[in-house]
Amino acid sequence: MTAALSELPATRATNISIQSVTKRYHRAGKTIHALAETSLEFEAGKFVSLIGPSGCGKSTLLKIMAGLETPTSGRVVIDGKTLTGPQDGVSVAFQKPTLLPWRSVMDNLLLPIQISGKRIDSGIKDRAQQLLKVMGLEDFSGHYPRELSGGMEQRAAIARSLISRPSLLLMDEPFGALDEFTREDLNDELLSLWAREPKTLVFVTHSISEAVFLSDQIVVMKARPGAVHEVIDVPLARPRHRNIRNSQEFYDLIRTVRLSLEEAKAGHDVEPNRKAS
Amino acid sequence: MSILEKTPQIDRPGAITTTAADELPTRLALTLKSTSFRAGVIAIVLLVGGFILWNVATDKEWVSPLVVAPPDEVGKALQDMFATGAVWKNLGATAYVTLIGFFVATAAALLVSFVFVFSESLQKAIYPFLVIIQTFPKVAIAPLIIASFGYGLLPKVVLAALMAFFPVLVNAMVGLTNINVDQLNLFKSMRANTWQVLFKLRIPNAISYILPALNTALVLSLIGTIVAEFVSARQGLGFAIQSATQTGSVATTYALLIVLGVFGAMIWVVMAILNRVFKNYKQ
Ligand SMILES: Nc1ncnc2c1ncn2[C@@H]1O[C@H](COP(=O)(O)OP(=O)(O)OP(=O)(O)O)[C@@H](O)[C@H]1O
Ligand SMILES: [Mg+2]
Repeated sequence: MTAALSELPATRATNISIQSVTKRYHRAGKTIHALAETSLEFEAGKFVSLIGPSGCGKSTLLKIMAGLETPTSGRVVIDGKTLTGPQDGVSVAFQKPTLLPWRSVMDNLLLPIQISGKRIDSGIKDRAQQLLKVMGLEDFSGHYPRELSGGMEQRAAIARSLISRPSLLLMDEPFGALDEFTREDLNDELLSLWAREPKTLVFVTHSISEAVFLSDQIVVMKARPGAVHEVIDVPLARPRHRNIRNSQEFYDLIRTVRLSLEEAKAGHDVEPNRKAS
Repeated sequence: MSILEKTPQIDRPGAITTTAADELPTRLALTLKSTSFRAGVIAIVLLVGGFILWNVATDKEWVSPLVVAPPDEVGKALQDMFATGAVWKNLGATAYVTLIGFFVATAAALLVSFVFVFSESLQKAIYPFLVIIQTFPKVAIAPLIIASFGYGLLPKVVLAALMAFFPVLVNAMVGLTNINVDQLNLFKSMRANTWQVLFKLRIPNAISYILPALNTALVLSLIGTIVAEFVSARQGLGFAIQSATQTGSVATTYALLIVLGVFGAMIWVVMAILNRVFKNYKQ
């Protein structure tokens, strides 16, 4: 495992399959049913968003896929292997930036490389610099997290999640703390990075337009207990340019997702005939 | 304002559009308003006021000279101490024991805290005993410690270290175990092993907890040393204070207290510097 990252073959994307997974938390004598039986297939190389009301189990599902939580029942299969814990090639961007305050931005970016025991060579440093540039942080590599704004911290955390070229990237509301403009810029950057380095991407968001703009598929979830309500395909052509946000197709998809979310929140099907399609 | 107007203008090439003359009063106003400036003024007023009160109180004999020595006598006692070099001998002895006690306590506390991190059952078994030992009034058991460890350096170091041990242990334990869940998940998701979690997460996390404890520990170690010197010693500030009190030379006692105060202030400065060096470790 001493091969430098730059010498590694190009990343492949990962297939991930969630098979009858449930999750219950036991806290203070109470049982919280975070996820009812959930089955989902994430095809290799797809960009899939999870969207749903707060508390519907999006973060829980993501942590289960990351191997950070074990499902109460069911299993997660990644490239044919049942998941037992965190895997190589899987990278997580958490809901909070989670930078280490005692490390400079650059050293935070290099942390995954250090942990994996790989050598930090000029190739890695170049990649880190390049990622910082994409995230608009090229002038801040020597700064410490406390010197950054919340949005800058979040961008640094995203750069860190990309440094080791994961084949599966799990992102939990990575742009939730950003303003609309920065968010749209970073959506573009994320898409171009994803196109350059193929990977399966699971993306939690509260923004319908962000989900539609980015995804191949949108998983709409419902709460109490968390479950999949509907999976919506997003047939917009790629590469996607930001002006597709003004297209009729885009509006229609937004409307579809919004309706589905309303159904999910109401806990029943508002238009039962539509769901079958 | 006349003084202000006469102040020579500071020539700063490249200063922004405002001229030095415009800038100076505002900067002065800002300085006058700043918290640290005001704190400094208050501190000086307290110091000078205290000194004057001390002078007047002893001069007019509001207090007995057996309790409060007049400033000039204290000054003379200080002068004598430095002239004979006695102060260096005593200060040196006290500083030596304080520092050894402090380092022994810190090393032991850090070691124990690491063991506790790796074995929760050991922690649960041993910690209650440490709490009980901690509640012993160590000042009261000083004679016992001296009796059990003889009359050399050892008993003094033991007492100093006993005083300093506990705060470091508690804060190190909290710092090593009170880890942000997300940060721990981050390390888990990167498949970090136990050692990587220890060196790259737990220890850096603990630094901001340990630093303030070191400050407390150093002061407690000093107290432990002084107490030990009260009980049994032939040198050291504690010994000197003890003998000065016994011979009734109040002025010498006061002079020694001043020396002790300066030593304490030096400890504080060293810790402030350490805090600055490690400022990035605050979570
Ligand atoms: N560690 C835990 N212990 C107990 N309950 C938990 C834990 N983590 C999550 N839950 C519960 O599981 C449910 C789902 O939580 P989860 O964090 O997955 O929601 P979410 O969809 O990510 O919400 P949000 O959009 O607000 O981030 C919630 O009811 C929550 O209270
Ligand atoms: Mg969440």
